[in-house]
Amino acid sequence: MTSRWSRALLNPVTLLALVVLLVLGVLVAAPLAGLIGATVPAGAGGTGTGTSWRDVLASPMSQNLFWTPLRNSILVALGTAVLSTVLGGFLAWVVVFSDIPGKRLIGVLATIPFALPSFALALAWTSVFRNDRVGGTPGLLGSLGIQVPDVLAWGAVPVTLTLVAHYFSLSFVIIAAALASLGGDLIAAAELTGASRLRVAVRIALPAVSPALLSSFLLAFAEGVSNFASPALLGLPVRFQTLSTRLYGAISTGDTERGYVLSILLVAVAAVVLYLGNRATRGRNFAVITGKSSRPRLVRLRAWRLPVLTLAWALIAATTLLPMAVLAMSTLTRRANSFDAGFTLHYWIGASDPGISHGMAGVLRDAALTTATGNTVALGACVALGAVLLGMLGAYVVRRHRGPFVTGGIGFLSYVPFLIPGIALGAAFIALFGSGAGPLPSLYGTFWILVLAGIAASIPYAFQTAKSSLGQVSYELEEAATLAGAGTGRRIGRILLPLSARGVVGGAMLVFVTVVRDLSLMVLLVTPATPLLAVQTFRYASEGFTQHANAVTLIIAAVSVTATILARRLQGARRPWNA
Amino acid sequence: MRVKDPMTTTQTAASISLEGLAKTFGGQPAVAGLDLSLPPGAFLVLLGPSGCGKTTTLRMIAGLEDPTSGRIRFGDRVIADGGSGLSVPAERRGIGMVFQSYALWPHMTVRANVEWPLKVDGWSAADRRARVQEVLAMLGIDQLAGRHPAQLSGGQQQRVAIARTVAPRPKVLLFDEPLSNLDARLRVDTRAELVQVHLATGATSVYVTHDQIEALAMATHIAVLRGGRLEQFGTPDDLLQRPRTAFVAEFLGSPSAVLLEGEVRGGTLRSASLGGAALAGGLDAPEGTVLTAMYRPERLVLAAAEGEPAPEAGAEVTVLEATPSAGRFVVTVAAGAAGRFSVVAEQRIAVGAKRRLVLPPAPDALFDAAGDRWEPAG
Amino acid sequence: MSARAAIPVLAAALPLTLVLSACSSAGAGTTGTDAAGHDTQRYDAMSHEELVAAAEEEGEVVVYSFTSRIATVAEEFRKEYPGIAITEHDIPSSEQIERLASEHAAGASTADVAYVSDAPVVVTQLIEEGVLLPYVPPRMDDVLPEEHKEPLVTNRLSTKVLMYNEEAHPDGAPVENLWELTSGAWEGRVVMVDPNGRGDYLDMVTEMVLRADEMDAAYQEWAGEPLQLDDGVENAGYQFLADLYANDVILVDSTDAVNEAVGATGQDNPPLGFTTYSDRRDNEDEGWALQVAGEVAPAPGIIFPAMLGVTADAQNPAAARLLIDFMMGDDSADGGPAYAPFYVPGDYPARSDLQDPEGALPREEFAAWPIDPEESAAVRGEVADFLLTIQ
Repeated sequence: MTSRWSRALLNPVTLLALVVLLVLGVLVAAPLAGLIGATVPAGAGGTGTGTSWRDVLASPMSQNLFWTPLRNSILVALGTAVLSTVLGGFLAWVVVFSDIPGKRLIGVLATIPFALPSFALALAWTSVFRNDRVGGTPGLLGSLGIQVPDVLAWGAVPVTLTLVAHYFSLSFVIIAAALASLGGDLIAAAELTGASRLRVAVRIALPAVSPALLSSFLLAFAEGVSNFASPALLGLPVRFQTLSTRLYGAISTGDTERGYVLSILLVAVAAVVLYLGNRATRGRNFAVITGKSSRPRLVRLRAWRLPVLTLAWALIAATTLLPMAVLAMSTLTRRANSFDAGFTLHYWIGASDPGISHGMAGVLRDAALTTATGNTVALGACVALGAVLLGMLGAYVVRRHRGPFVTGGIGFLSYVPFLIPGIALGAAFIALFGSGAGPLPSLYGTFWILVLAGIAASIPYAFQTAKSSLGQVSYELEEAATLAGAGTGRRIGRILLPLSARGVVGGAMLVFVTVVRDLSLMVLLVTPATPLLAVQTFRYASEGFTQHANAVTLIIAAVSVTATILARRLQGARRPWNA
Repeated sequence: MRVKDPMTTTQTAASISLEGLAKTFGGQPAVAGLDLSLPPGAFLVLLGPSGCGKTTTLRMIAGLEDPTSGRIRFGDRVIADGGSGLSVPAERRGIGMVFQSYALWPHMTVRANVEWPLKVDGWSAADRRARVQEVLAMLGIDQLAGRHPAQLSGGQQQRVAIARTVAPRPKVLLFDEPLSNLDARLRVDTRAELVQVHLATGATSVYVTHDQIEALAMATHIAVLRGGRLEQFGTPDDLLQRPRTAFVAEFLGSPSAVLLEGEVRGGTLRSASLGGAALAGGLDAPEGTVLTAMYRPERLVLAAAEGEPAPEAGAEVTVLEATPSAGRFVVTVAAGAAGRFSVVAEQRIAVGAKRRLVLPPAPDALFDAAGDRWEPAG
Repeated sequence: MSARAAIPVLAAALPLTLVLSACSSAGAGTTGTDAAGHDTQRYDAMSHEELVAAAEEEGEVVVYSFTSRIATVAEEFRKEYPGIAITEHDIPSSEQIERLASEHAAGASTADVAYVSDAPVVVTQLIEEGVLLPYVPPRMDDVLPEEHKEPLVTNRLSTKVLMYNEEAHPDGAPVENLWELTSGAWEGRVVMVDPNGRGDYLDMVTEMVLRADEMDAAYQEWAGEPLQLDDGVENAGYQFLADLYANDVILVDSTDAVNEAVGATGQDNPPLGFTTYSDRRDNEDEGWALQVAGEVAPAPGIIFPAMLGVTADAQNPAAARLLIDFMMGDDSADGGPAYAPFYVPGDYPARSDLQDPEGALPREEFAAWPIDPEESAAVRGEVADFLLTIQ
């Protein structure tokens, strides 16, 4: 038996599984364990009071603290996940398969909403739909004299729709990468049966990319359930609370233990969704990149061309162009969110003027901006690289390992980091790396702790995209490499990685954008030596310098869009054989 | 760096032996106790219907699956042992394999597909270039070297797959139904080429198929599998002449052997479904024993059906189809309760015509109710 | 991939973390005691000159601040003490509290000075745990009221008070009593940040509960009859909150949202809202018409401290104390350049010898309740829970 065990350990997949689990253990399981420990009474091995569980689940407060927010969260997250996947899938199909003009441009624009902070989309929504419930300046419709009902201005509907506007772009990236891998044979064969184009798209093309649809659904669900900005901005005025607003509320009023209990319950909800999602596609084979190759083909839309074109551009206009315009305008208006007081470039290039923003100079005059941009890009790149490597290895282990505990453990740990509050993740990192306890080095105060925290927080994107794109590569391609004598590393590097490059690059892009955009946990770990753009926006926003904050946000969006365009170039370059 | 001489065409082939090889998936046996031993340079065909375990066996030889129990040896070397868990990793077994789907790497050109295994094996650049050129020329695809697989036809992709497999001169060549994706014509051509490749490399080969024609055409040895068990292992002639089971008899041969069931009455095997026709006589078997008589199709004769035939003159059959084959005709007939079978005739017979089935004096073999070969006692 | 499948992984990770945090807190404990032990008293007793000398010896100081105005302070500090390199971090209070606590537990490098709001949380999570220590500069002994020396030194006071739109109500506040906000006239027309999501607003509603007697009296004054408490409602403070929520108070997510809702010019019927008095100085910039309802009974809201503390693990204990001393302002009437970033109308200096900034009600005419962090910390959890039951 000993030799059997040692042989099993020497198996490269087992070894890899151990390494991945170890890394995820430190980056995700340890913070999660810390979270749990903080809610368990000291007598039972934890550090908390333990009463928070009862407060949340079985007290007079439970209804408003947990059950109603839970229902709202699930409602919003399901709506976000379904609609994001549908809209993202539609645009992906348009960009990959249709023959409409300008589809490349759509492809670039469709990735932008993800790069915008969610508050920008919520802001865009209020700029149109805000009614007089709260007071202040009404939105566009209100100023035209149209009474906007509360249900459209505040609560579940706008929260869900703004989240969809934000995350359909995530679905687009994932599904487009998967669709691009479909060989023409599959589509041609279906078309030859005389099925309509719509039928082919819905019955053949989309099911063939089920793993990508699942990944997109899971990520959009987790984002929907964890997003704080949208429900806070659009939900609170009608007391529409979600688990995330309750969770951050509890933490920021000093009741961290209760906040942690809520986030553990959020993790549990996510685990159930993950389990159900995986069960839906279990045991089915979605390999479309096989050893038998065929070229992709375009679908001629003919009469459908105009409706599809209109729909696609309407979507882009509503989710990309409008929010971008609102954001850009808001950096130019002398007064935040008001066009009446005129326009100025002061917030970009103006010198310090004691009469404006307490003498805060324009953002481009801030010497720290260049450093912050450089740091942000470097951080984004390092995190993207690390997360993609970890995600790829994790997805590979899940693909090859037969043990349900190993694959389940990796799948779970790679999914939940969204749901661990940034503040808890940050605190756990300080505990782990603060003074180099045990085998872990003291990284506190260095750039590398930011990289590690970034990887921990963004691993869901990397893992899900790697998993869905690896799922498209047939086993035989890897086995052929095995029999050619290639070891695990070589097979991953030379066969699997290039073949799943589209999805993996897409994942890297998502990770990069997330890191660059807003990572609240960075506030806990960042040092003045490594200023970051996201932290700068925060600094401006917290002092009420809206225009400055939005200007930096726009810079962040510009960095993200540049990265997106580069990534798309790279995706094209990685697949010369059927580009 | 190992030094290789690219121009050497032979490499020490290995004998392969399977000892009690078994594999279960989630408690379900896929392969149950295979024993066979193959001399170096042989061409073994694993033959059987789908789900018989032939592909699993091939994948265990390749190292893509580990046996649950039993052993695999290449020569004297144990490369997999289910008992101890030992398993030489697939990448170190020195094996080449042609996949059913070709498994060409779509992101590499034809040249790169063929060259990469050599690179992995540590060949020098010059050796690689020469060897790639050599195998591409051997398969007649040297002009396609710069293309990607998606730009090739199915037959061309198949040749690239073969070229890639043989390039590193594997000691053992494995084929997993490599022809099943080709059209009938291309299949026959490629079959001949595969045999040539086998001869040229001298590698011990294992070939999986459910097509017995392929098996008979190519194999030096055939192993017929059924339900994860070995039905019979031998040369093609062995299997054709001396099938050990009714299953083998029916599965092999083109057209396949005719099996007629009967019951022993007074030492004579008679078929009730053929109007009591005598299948075999002088049998030392208890009254009422059920036996199956096997006839090779060329030994059955279809005579003109005139008048009211006597039972001894043979049962009446109806011609369903007649296919020309090598100057003769394969005629499929319906014989009432005895079912459908094919016989070989010298002349075309019109579809729908009635004929009398004339049996030879003795069948080629008899099988008992379990399907095993039945020999008269003593 | 189920949660069940992850249990072994977690089970494996849990001991790991426990061991890790055990190691790290053990390390922290020793250094903490060293730094905080005899040294504290020695540094606290230093004269200004001794402190400067020791600080220059140390050569650097690190500060966490909940406000970005620290950047201006740091510039002034550099001018005054070019030999001491100051590094300023801008971290919001709740993150700062978590960060300081985690760093202390892990024995990680940390700041020397913390400038932090959220006093009640600071009391329970940092001061009781010994993460932050008070330091009262000797020259502040006479000029700082006792309540601003404990539990940490307060350098200024900020507010959360009822404000109205002076463009729509040029003759003064449209209400004279907080209880009016629970009447039909103001149904759905009162805006505040959700107290279940923001510490300073929770402090405000907590103060209403702590001042239940005053709330009770104000009701009597407004309604002309004694207040009848609902079943299960403990006092007039809670009753006010219950009535306010029942009157459809509008909750938003930030002070800016309140300012915009209440203050935006051009409104016919602007709401009232609880927000920061000093935001009134942005009226011009933002197109607001915010004005404080300073005379509303029993009080317009709360006035609460921004506090300065030395970390227990300070690497530069002398420079830390020097910075706190600096941030309390110089001897001029407005506190000089060091205090300038905090010398704004609507905020109030903690020092009794500084003049109140012009453009706002003088402190003595401004009836907002000063909060007591310790008392507030004791009941704010209950208040938060109460609010959760009445929504």
